[in-house]
Amino acid sequence: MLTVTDLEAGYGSIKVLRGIGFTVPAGKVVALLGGNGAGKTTTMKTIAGIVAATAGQVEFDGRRIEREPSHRIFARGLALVPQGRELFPEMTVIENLELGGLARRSTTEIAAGIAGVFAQFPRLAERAHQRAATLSGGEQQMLATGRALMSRPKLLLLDEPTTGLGPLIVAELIRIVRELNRGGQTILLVEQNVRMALAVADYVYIIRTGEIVAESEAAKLSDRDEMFRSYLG
Amino acid sequence: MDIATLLVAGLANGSLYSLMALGLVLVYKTQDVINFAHGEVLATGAFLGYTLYKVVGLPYPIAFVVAILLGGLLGGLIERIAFRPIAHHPHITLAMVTVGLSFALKGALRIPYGRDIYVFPPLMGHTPIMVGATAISPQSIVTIVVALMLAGALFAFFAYTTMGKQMRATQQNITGAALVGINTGRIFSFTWALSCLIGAAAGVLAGPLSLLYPDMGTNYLLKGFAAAVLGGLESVPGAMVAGLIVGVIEMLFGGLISTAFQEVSAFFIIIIVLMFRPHGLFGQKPVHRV
Repeated sequence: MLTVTDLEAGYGSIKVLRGIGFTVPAGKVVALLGGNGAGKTTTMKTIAGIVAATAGQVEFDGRRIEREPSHRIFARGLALVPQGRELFPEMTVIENLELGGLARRSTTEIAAGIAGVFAQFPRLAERAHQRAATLSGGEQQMLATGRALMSRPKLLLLDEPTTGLGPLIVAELIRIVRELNRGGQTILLVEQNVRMALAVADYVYIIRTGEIVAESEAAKLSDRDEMFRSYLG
Repeated sequence: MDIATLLVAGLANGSLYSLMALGLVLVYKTQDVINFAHGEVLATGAFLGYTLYKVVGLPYPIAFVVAILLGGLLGGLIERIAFRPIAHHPHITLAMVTVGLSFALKGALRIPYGRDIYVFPPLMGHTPIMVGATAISPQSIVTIVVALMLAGALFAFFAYTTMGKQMRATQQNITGAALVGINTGRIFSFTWALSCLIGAAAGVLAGPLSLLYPDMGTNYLLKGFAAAVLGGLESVPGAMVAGLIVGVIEMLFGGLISTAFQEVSAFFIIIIVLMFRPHGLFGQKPVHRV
């Protein structure tokens, strides 16, 4: 579904990604693990078209997308739930969800989509008419995820969904990601939280200073593994 | 002088300030920049209206609609040509470009219209309608009604249309907008088009109340900016209400106290308001998350 090859990107003269490469097969959950500043978020933003690639390729669903603007990449069926959540703070939960589907779906599909998101995240249904700015961190993460799902993406990118959230909400997110995947959703996850990543991923890549330094099937790893831990720094 | 007379005249002027403030607020909310060329947008609208109505001889409503659509088109082109390539530069760069644009538009207007002063005839004659002791100029009524209709249309546009919702989303979070598939470049163009359309409408309406000359926009820009600040700079209803307040204060000061203070009275009130509410009447107190 997604193949990244020798991807390079950065901000101004600072190169963050130095030829990163990995694949996300359809129907799987792939996790990129790494410490602070490893280039995880930049990888996600580059794939989604928010940061420009300076070299390399991103192939999504059989097409090269590394030169396309973000709205076109989104239209092809790739939705990113960013680390900062990037909600519309003055809009209600419903309005945020509606906007998630607006560019790709008809109004009837949007109504059905909102119902679907509310079934998945009952907490959001309770907050339907509240402004996004008034939600808790966990609820905001749910709303950002729900908003991305509104477009029924072929590939869902989750950038550190657990940042700043308590263990109960992390457990809830693990449940949701598994459930989505069971429904056939392909997911690329970026995490610092090893437990979260190993709980949901089929395959894990370890990223360090803009390069992939190790990869493995998730089932073969444990978060106690010394070798594995040392890579994360 | 009769207070009701002053009030109506104040509301008429005020609704023009409201329209100016609306145009400024729209661009500010989307791109964080004050369009210093907005006065010239008004002047362009006024001359377009004058030319279509007086020179070409179109019926007034058609001349009005064509003039504001051309104003909107001008806005969209300005964004695409002058601002899109520098959209990610610091705001001060964009602001300087709007200053340059102001001179450029004034210069462009002087080519066909020279240094002469033109008179835009009022739509329904000069004879005031008398209601008791209150004299109401028909042009005031036209101005107020058209401004309110435009404001109403704008509110409906933002509340109910897909484009309106996408524009609000872009104003609130541009990265978020890009992530839900909104073509933010198109939103920028459309925002400028809408802002300039409203500015041009203010120009056509201002024609009969003012005189037409390429520099006519300066005063309206100042009052519109004052109203935008008073309204909180990011608030559409705030801009609307504050424009009317500025117009009325100015008329009441001029009519009841002294015409010498008329021009500065509104600014005086605004300074006092901002001392107590620095974020304006309708603005939100800036909150910094830790």
